[in-house]
Amino acid sequence: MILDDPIRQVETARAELGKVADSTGGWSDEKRQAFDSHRMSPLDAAGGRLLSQLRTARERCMAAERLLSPDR
Amino acid sequence: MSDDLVKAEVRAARALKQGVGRYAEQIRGAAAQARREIAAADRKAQEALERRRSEVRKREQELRQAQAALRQCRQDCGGLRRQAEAAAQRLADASQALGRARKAAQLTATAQSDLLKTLQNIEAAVGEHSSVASSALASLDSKLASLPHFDLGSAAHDLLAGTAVTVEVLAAVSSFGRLAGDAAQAVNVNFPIRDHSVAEMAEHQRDQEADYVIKKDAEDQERMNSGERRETTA
Repeated sequence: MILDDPIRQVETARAELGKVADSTGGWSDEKRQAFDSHRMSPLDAAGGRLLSQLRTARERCMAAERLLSPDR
Repeated sequence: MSDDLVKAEVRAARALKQGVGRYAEQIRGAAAQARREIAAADRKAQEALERRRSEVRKREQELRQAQAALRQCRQDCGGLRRQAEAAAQRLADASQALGRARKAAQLTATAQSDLLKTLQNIEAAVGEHSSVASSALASLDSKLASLPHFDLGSAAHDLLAGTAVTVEVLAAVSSFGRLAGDAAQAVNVNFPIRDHSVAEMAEHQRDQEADYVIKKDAEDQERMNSGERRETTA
């Protein structure tokens, strides 16, 4: 289905970014707390925004495909 | 700070830097593919629209011919009338299909236009943030790696390592926070966390920085006092 791959790629990217946070296991509480905020950083938020726009675009394209289907 | 902890800090900084770089790369890849797919979908819809316009023109012509033939008919005109009616029906069907194609083309054009704007903003934001993050983490890694070494185990070394790491991490996070607001404003992207988490994060960082200053002052004072005590003893 259209845009499925980019959507999956962004979902994977966000999940992997979240897992990277586990590498701060050796950090102090103070730094980890700062990084926990960092996990909600613009990078992750940008990915979330992109995901939402990709899903909207996919819905529009699917609606367009239904309108163009020969059995309509 | 123990040697193991410093090593863990170094590992974390490197993993984070790699993770942030990979994230930016994945987003760029997804954006490029999304551009190609949405352009193909829009092209397909525009082509379908053109085909249906052409179909309507053809059906109009067909109807005109059927009506002309019917007008010229003087007797036994039932067959020609049915042909004209059928042609009118085919034109009506083609016109409906054209209407749907117009809506479809409008949908894909809007989808493409909105998505391209978002992609441009997101790629700019991710590029900027990942670049700042990578630089900050590289700097942290380099400072940690240049510490005069993990086997000293002295109080001075512990203090140095702890201070360097804390300052770098806070500076890195602080850069993220600042950029989040600036970039969101610059590109007019309404990040979900813009109003809340970033502000809280900045507040948190200010508190931490204040704590650090207080702690450092106290530690400096303690070192001065212990130095004075040693001089007095001597």
